[in-house]
Amino acid sequence: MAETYDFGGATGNGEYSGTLAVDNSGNVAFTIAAATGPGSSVQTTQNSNAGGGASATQETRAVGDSAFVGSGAANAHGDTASTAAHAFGNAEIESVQGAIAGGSGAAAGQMTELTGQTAAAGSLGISGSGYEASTTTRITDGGVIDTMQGAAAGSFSYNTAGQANSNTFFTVAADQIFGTPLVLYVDVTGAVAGQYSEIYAENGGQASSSANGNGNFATTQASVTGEGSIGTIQIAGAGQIGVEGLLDGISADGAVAGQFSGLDSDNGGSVSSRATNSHGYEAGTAARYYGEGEIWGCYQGAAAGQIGIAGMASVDGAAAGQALQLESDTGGSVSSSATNSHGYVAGTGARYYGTGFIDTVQGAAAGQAGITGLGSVDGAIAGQDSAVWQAPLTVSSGQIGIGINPGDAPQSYAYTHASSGNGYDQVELETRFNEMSTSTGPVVGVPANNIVQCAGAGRISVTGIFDAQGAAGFQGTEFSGSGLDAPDDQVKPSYQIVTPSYRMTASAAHGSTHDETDYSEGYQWAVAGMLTDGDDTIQGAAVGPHDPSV
Amino acid sequence: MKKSIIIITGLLALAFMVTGFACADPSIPATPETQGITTTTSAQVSGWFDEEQDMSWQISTSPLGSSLTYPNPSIPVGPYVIYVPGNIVLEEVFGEGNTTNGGVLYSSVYSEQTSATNGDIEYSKQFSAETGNQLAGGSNIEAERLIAFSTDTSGRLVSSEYIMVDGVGQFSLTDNVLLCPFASDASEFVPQFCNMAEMGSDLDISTGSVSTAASDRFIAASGDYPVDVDYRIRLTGIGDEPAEGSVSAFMDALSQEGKIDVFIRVPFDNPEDGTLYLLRTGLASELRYEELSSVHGQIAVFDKDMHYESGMRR
Repeated sequence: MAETYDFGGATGNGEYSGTLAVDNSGNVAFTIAAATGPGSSVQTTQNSNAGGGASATQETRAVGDSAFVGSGAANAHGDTASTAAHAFGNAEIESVQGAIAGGSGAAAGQMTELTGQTAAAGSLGISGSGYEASTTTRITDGGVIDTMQGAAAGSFSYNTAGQANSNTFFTVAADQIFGTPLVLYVDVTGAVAGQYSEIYAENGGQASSSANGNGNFATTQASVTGEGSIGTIQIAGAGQIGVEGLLDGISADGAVAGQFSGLDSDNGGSVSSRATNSHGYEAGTAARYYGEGEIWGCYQGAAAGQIGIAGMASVDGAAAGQALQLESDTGGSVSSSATNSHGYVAGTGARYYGTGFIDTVQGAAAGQAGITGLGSVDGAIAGQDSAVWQAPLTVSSGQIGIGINPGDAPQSYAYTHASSGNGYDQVELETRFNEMSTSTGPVVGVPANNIVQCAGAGRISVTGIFDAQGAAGFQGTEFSGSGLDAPDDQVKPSYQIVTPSYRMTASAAHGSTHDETDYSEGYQWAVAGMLTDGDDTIQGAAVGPHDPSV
Repeated sequence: MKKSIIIITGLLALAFMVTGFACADPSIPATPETQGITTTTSAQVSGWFDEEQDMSWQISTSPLGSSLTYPNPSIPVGPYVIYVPGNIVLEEVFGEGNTTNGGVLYSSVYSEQTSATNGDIEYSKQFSAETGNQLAGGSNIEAERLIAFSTDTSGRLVSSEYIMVDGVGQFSLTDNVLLCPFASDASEFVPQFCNMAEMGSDLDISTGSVSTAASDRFIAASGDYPVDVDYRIRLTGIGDEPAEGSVSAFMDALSQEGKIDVFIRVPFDNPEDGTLYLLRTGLASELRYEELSSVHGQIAVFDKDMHYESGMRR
């Protein structure tokens, strides 16, 4: 028999209100809200329905010393979904929430604004088959969260361009915040959670999403400590998942997490994603920021299990990637790395401390990875396509470098490395910008517009070109010949353009055999182990090209 | 003269494991301040002897006299109970007068009345009551008696002894009650319960030697040890002569065990929001046990040993 109940009241310590729906098929949905402390109040409109499923909704304003607003649903197959928000310390929550359960799954979602000394909103979906996905956003030490988030478990399809108001809001909000309408189409058998959130915090903030199931785990997070704000759209799923919208055609049988975020901070930062599979393969990607500046246009994702990307690439293991722009004044660092269970490692990164700018697309994968028409790797691979350059900066003669790379801070560079499990075969490629020089007047450094680096460890095959076992990599860098690309047109005329001083290095080690070069015509390669292109074979450690004059 | 020799040996053990639900009786933790009472009595008398002892004890997780509370925070809704352990806000809203675990109340009574007239009596008794937590093998109430009585006249020894444990309680999360990390695999909840066990004996003899041992245990820091009640009586003659008179020993038990239907278990993502359970509670088992053994006449041996235990782990 379908039943609905409303409940609520006041105690000596606060107020509460809720509604419950139970249908005759075992579907249950509920809402509940509460607030504590003197003067606490729960103003709510709550509804529940049962019959052919169960649903519950609420539009609630809860104010007090602490406040809680939550909703959830579950079906008879063990699929559960919940969404909730709480705030402590001068708490105020305004929330629209809903939850629904039916034969194919359960879902819950909320649109909420939270204010408090500490506050958090989270959503969690757990499928009856054990897949789990969650998303959460949190502040400490005061702040405000605006969030729209939800979670679902079971078998379902969803798209953000649907007719529901929340869908419209989701798309419009993405457009307003990021200048890009985000339309997602998601098919899930398992669990999925996602959020669009804005966090305004002076000393805290975190938004994260994660998913796991069958030993696969994926998580993505954005974090700010210190002044700053986050605008993020995140999604995480576990099970059999198909996503259209971010890239055309992402499919995963395992766990996947991704985000599209912007982060503005003054002494904080960090956007990261990570995935591991049941065999211990791990891939992660991260961007950090400390000091002034921001990260924007950040697409980031990680997946574990069997992953397909737009018909272009496939990974059976773990993969992570990111595309972002990072501007810095005494901050920087973006990196990606991957490790398989045998210890094969590949990593790539770009760093900038001091005034600078990085625009990068990079990724890493561990396991069996293939790129259609290009080749495959059984081990670990990482690579990037980046622009790393310095914004115009005036420095006086005799003080070259001061203000650009203060103190012992690392100088700007891009690097990629790979090594076999026992470290016997290693390759490393690096482009570094570290010797600004001029005789007089102000200068502007002109580093690289286009750095392409890639390295892999394990069994590597580049279709029709070579096969390698051990570690191999290459880098190609295009350097600007002038400072015309410097972004500040107003000050540009006052600068003298100096020849960029940079250094490209490639090194390879095969046991005790070692080879390296710093001679470059914009391209370098490194091989450790064995490589054959059909005609020739390289065995041991070799790099190229070498300086012919040496 | 009618002569009869009756030998009765009894051994009872109640087992409460029933497929599909778990027995409760999780004991109750000691109060912060505990008491200990010990007495030793020894007498060798020709003439008259009298001993009377009464002890009643109630201990509750809530103030005595109040109703048993659901674990905090719980909200009765129609035939259901919404229970949200771990939710900080709701715990504060419903916190006044409520405790993390479901309310539990235990009562225990021990009493003895012994009178001997016109005879030779040897009486010794050791009694202890300890209100602190006990482990397996320990007792909260323990009494041992040795009595020998003979008379050449119309003297009689009349004695009765009684021990009882009564426990009632609301449901709790198993992990909150038992330390054993595997206990919740069998049942996520310790269901409601209402259990009582009584034991004792009565004797009226003109000659004979009797020993009794009574004990119970229901105070423990966790519910890992079952509630115990034990009683033993042995009556024999003196020398080659059988005891003469009548003696009886009894055991009554009523065990009502609840069950918890977990309709849904929906965790929230943030730990401060806890997990919401939708529960329906009910009575799953009712066990009644009554036993009385009586003998009258010339008694060579009357020996009865009774044991009751109830708990989640046995």
